[in-house]
Amino acid sequence: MELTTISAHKAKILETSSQVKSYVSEEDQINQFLDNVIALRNFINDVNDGYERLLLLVESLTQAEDLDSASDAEVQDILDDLKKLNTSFSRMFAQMNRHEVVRNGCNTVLLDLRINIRNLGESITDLEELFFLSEDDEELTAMLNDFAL
Amino acid sequence: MIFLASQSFLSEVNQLHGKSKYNCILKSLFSEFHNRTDQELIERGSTLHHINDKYIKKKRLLTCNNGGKRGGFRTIAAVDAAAGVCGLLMIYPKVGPDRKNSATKSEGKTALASYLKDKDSDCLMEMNFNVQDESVYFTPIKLKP
Repeated sequence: MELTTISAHKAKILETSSQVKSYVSEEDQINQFLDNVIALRNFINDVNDGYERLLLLVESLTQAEDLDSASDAEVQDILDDLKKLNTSFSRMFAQMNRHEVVRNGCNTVLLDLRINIRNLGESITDLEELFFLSEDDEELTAMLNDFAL
Repeated sequence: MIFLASQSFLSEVNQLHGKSKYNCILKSLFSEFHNRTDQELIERGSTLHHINDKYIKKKRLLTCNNGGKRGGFRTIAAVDAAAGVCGLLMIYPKVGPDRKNSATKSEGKTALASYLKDKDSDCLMEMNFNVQDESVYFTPIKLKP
């Protein structure tokens, strides 16, 4: 449209002004997107905090070594529950890590989550070793008795 | 509590400290062991073996560059609170290019044997705390007259 009249100018100006105004709504969209990333990061942080509490509790469980048939089942329940939890969050981690936006926006907390999942996996193995696979080791006991003398 | 390290432990620390990925290891050791009560030394970490009040513990140490999260290193330590001795047996990373699988009780036993050999040869090292730097350093210690 050739801008020869005031009407033509007005139309062009209003059209362009309308386009510029639409950028504001895009900014809102960007802000909302960023808010979602922050919310996701906070969620993953909460998961990590939960993992830290769990890991401390599991470590303290290794102090209790008396195992009878009743506690055998209780320990197995604990292990089953922890394994399920770890599997769920491993899958969740894998799904989130596939998306570049999530991976970049939540990089640190996702790395923490991977460490926590691995730590809990290790603790589960330690529990199984201690409660179910432990064998009498007189040599180790003797060495431990001697070490501080 | 006195903290004594075997030569192999010290060798592992020095090797890791020389690599940029793990150069916070001395600070991680400080964070885990400095100002801990005897009870904390016994309670913190997983118990691999114990007899009476003597424990072999696996402890998670701080990670480098990860906002203070524990998990970067593992230390296997023997703790005898009654005797006031914590023996540092082995240390290894769980993250990064040098990460290792979880130490088993068998590996802990081998590390304890190495510690006892150094004790018999009177060549254990003492771990000391540098409070200003929040770090540790090792000095020779003679336990035999």
